[in-house]
Amino acid sequence: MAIIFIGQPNTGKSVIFNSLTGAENIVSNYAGTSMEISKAEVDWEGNKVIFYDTPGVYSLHTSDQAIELVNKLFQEEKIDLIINVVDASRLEVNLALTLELLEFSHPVVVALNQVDLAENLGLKIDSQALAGLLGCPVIKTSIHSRQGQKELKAVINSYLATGITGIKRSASISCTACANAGSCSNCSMGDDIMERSQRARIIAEQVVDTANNKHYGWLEKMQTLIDAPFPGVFILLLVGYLGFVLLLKSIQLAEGPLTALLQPLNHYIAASIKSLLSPGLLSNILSLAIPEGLIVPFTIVMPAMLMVSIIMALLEDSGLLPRYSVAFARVGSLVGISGEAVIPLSLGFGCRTPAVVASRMITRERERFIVITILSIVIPCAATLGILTSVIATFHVSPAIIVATMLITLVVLGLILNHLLPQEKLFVCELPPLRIPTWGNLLNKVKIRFTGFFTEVLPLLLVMSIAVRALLESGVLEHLYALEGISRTLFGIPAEALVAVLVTIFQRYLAPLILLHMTLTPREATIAIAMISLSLPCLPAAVMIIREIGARGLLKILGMGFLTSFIVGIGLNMVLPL
Amino acid sequence: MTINELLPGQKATIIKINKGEAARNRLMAMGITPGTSITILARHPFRGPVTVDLGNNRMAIGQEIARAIEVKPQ
Repeated sequence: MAIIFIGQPNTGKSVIFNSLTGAENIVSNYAGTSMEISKAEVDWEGNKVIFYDTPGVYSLHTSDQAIELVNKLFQEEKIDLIINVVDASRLEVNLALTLELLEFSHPVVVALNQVDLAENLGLKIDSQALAGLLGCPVIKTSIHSRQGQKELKAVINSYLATGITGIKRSASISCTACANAGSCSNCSMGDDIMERSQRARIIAEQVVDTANNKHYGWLEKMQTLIDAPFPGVFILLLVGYLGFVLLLKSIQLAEGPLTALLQPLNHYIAASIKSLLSPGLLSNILSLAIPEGLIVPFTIVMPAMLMVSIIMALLEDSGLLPRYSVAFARVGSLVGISGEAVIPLSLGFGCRTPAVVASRMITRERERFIVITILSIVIPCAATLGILTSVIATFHVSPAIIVATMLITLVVLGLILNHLLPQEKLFVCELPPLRIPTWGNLLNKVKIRFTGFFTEVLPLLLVMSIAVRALLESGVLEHLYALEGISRTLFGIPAEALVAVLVTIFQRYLAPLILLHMTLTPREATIAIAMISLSLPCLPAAVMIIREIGARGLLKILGMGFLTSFIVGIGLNMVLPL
Repeated sequence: MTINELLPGQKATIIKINKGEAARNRLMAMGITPGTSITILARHPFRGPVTVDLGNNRMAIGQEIARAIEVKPQ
């Protein structure tokens, strides 16, 4: 037997799915959290029951990625029962989808979710009358009080016991509603979305009692403040800044103790490798690469990933995330990104590795690629910024030229990417009510997002660290010193500085350190540091990019990074006075 | 009159959506249908999105769509 959960975005499908199946799906307070279909096979009182959780859809008759997924599931799998999760606080708009589902030949059960939220809004819903009008069971449920869980289980049990006849539903909507709508011909609604919406409105008017007092608590007051352009934008910027400070502090706090803790282990590993292998290149590479490959992930990546998972979960569950999308929509549109991209981009100034993870909050694939590319090439992380500043001070480089070059690159790169990857310009975003995140959900999310550190990030970083060390130890890079002529003509910098630029492939924050040991004119230093600042993602960020968008995505970004760096070098060489 | 011409606090009824079928269907499925009463909550500066209340449902609508939704002020 197969049961499918369908509902509009942000109705709480995944919470009900998780509580019924014991699965651990990501749940958020914004539309579009689940972009995949989750499947859970459950031993349900001796029967094998398959549950499917689907991404939120407004209608099955419009077209987008989520709808295609749901329609495909209906075509490929035999579905026995539909559990339509409906948000009681937005009944009218949700019922339009219910009416559509009732046109299917599958039995439907309506889970009238978030009834507590509806009551806070002063809405009292007569679920029995609703069941009568729809001709299918309607069960009141609540995420917070777990209301309706037993009843929902009982309905599934009754369905299992008696089969398709267990849940009776009329072939069409009760004609009381249609008669009122004045459009009934034995309920031949067709698939016209507008007609269904009108019928949904009439049903909602019949079953919702709005005469109750609206509860206007501090969360609602806060919501009013945040949703106003002023002071909303400033509150959101402040929250974002606090998240950024929290991220930086947690990395700083963790780095020292974790390094001290790992030191004896690393010494032991290095000594063991040296004693096991005969002295030579391999012994050198492994004894350096393995401890290096452990230090960076544990001291920087691990605390950063953990903190970003917490920040992301808080922003998602509270309902703040879509508000970023709205408040910064205009700014983002200048470089072809939506407002919510502000979060990963600003986290990138702390550390770009977790910022790549944070880009997950952008559900549109093309936009996510644009954001990761901008993060990788343009945004300087805290480590880069620190060394950048010291290079600027050492060689008397003009900070204004560096900042202007970075801003111009950001806008130009954004515009080019936006042109190459055209996106839908139609911006409509639902603003869910603000909520207090629950501990259970918060921990669940952090757990799901953080497990990837041990299974994917750590092994990949270790392998790549060995590869990089092998390249550095082999002395291949020294051959590049022969490129003095080309380097001088194209970029106006010595080949040695060009090598520093190329080293950024491996360790972005090592590259400026190499520069510090050279004798460069301010002009040469400006070009070299600008080329380094606008080049490639560091190794941990590259690993995270592979994990998030695959190796092909990383290759594209690396190609664009090289190109950007070279163009910036050539451009500055042409523009800057000798 | 279209949504982008309304001021915060103004109430109106949606009359028509001047967009292609796919966009219109998507908007209608989200509850932005002719006949729906809306209240303008805020207009973001620099031609940013307009936030509207559609009866317990808050939506932010970008300028391009806001310009395409015809309304009748109440």
